[in-house]
Amino acid sequence: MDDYILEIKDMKTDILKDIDFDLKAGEIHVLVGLGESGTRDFIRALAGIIDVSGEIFVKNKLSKFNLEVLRKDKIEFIFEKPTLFEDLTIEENISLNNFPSKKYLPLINWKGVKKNYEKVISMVNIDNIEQDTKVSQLSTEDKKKLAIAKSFLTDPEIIIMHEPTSDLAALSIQRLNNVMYNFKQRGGSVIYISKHWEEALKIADRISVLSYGEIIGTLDSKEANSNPRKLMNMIMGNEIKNEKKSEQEKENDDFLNFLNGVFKASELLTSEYELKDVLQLLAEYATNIMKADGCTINLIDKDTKTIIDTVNFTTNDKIEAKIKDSVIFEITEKDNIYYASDREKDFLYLFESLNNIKSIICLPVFVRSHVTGFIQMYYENVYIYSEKELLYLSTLGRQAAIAIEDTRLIGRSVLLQESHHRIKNNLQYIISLINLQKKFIEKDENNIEGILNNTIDRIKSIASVHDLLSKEKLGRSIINVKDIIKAIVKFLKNSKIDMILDLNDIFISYEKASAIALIINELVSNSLEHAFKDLDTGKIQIYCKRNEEKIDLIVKDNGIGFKEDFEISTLDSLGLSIVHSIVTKQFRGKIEIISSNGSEIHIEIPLSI
Amino acid sequence: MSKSLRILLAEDEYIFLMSLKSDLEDLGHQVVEEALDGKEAVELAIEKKPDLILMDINMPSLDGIEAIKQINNVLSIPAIIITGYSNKELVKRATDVGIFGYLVKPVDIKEIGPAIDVALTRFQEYQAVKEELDDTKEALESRKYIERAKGILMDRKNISEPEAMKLLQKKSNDTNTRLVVIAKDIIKADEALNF
Repeated sequence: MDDYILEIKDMKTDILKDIDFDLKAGEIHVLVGLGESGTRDFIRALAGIIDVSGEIFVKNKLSKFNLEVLRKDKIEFIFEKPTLFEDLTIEENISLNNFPSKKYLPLINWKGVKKNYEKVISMVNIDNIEQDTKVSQLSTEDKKKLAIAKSFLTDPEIIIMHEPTSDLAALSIQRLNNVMYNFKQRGGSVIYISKHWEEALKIADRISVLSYGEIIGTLDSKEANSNPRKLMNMIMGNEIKNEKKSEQEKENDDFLNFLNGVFKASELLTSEYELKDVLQLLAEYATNIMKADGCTINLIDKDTKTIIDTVNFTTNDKIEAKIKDSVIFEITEKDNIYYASDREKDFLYLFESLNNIKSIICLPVFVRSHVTGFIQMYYENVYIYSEKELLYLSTLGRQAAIAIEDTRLIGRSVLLQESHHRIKNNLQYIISLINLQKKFIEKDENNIEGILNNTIDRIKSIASVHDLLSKEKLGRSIINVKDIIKAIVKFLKNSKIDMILDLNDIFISYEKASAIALIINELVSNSLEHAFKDLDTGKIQIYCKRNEEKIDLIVKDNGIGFKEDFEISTLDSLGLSIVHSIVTKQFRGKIEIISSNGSEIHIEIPLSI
Repeated sequence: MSKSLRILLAEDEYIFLMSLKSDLEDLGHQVVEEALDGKEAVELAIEKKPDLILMDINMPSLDGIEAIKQINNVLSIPAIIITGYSNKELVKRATDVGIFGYLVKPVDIKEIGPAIDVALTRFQEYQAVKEELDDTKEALESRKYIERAKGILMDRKNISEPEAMKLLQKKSNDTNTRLVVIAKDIIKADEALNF
């Protein structure tokens, strides 16, 4: 009989069914389970926090499912969310469990406390923080590290941890792994409960798989590492697909295929193909290499949560999978490979439309640590990927990132050439505005200052376009109309008048942006200047949303309204005649004025120009 | 220049167009048509036959120089281009196509008047030279025929050159026909007889 330091027999809770689990001395036994497999219940049952039946033996002696009891058996728990006293300092928290006492007098040995503290703190590396810092002031990561340190400090023989790496950064995870390894060397044993099977593979001696409340199998580390697919199949509960070729041959084929794809993609990237073409081809290669049935690559803007562009490739037209936009952005928050299959309850809810697809693998694409793209692979069958395929997908993701970055850079250098042209154009724009304004001075001689201020505002609105361009983190030459409106409202607003904005994200090209900025400036300035004479308060509402292939813009105020015989197409008011001309002649759009309860100007601008 | 011109303005940035229009009107001219892209410019020019075209080089659907080339295939209208660039290659392309001036952005209002004057003057000179050239070509052509006819007469009638010329001139005076027409008739007759 094996020498087990811990044995669990017939453990039963609401979710868990007849769990048998054992732990050898000096072993790290990982319990892997996804989603609702019951991993959380496992640790809570052991600690006695939930109702549990069954037996637990520590060093062959019957014990209890109870945290305090097990602690006396030198078993420590590390929960996913650490239990620390927020108001006490680090040092105090550490000491609470286990005050080292002088041998004969039950007094606290503070020197011992300090010594232990230092030993453990250096072990998990929070040593750049003063020990008398209150826990509530620590970062989430440091709190987790502290909780971990605390547990090791009591010098246990067994540590049971649940999702220890959550809230930890990569470097800290590395340190934790070292700490665990040292612990193991000194004879310690660990039960490591997690959904991260990839982490498990790295540190485990044995891996048991928990699925829907049952332990469906146990692999030893060697077996699991050489064939992660087997592990995955167990985790997903699937049969291994039958392969006719030998495993090795297939792997070679795959690798050659993959290399080919990578080379082709590199070729493309240094060619003059458009970004969209490159991505289209990448989608095709990815489908091939990942043995998928289809692939979609999206270009996304994470900050405004909009999908800028999409390319699609499918191997047959009977399949369809369109993930909801909101889900895409949720996945990018996690920055990890995302796998889902129809075995999970919420699979259907991920999609806007779904046809004949049973599993998906998704990967966010990073450009300079900024999520800028999203790759989706979909499968007609429930597909389990191997670690190698994961590597392929990550590489494809990086190729996509390079393609995107490349375009941006090329765009940048072309932009440099164009920038002189743009500057000249802008200056011409401003000169034209001032020139037009000159013609009105004779009519309005007493208001030179007002006229000059108008001119300044116009120039500011053009400048705001460039300001936004310069802030565009990814160097794209597109501008969000919403940002233009907000910028202009900011410099025009006045304390008497409320500005109410109802805006959507609409991305437009640079060429259109200046003209639109001018329109907004004119409409809002006009309201501010003329609508509220003799009134103490007022309200201006700006509505700007996309309506299929048009932009709908409405600027409305509750002021005195327009004069009855007001004709926007005459040059009575320079500002509004500019608006009229730009909208109707340059954009070939529509403009309508309604004068009731104030004034309302309704503009439609087609997006296709 | 005091004459009021009918002008076609082609410019895709409408603000600039408005400003230019206003200046041209101040100078006493009349903007008869506005075009926002190259294709429209060509259509309107051919249809409305303005006295002068002012066209931006950088426009959607057809660039300024191409547009003017197409217009000049059909009609002879002086054109001034407006450009953000000023480089040698551009100037060469422009002159090849028959452009009589160019303005560089940002356009100074004070430059427009003189540019128009210069363009018109150049255009008129160009037309004059062209006419002269055509005349000269015609004269050269006529000369060829007359020489040939003289040769034929000298051969057939065994006379000297001055005598042949006198014969031709007499025939021309008597029948009140141009020398070159007589010469052509003789050549035709000769060809017929030789056959």
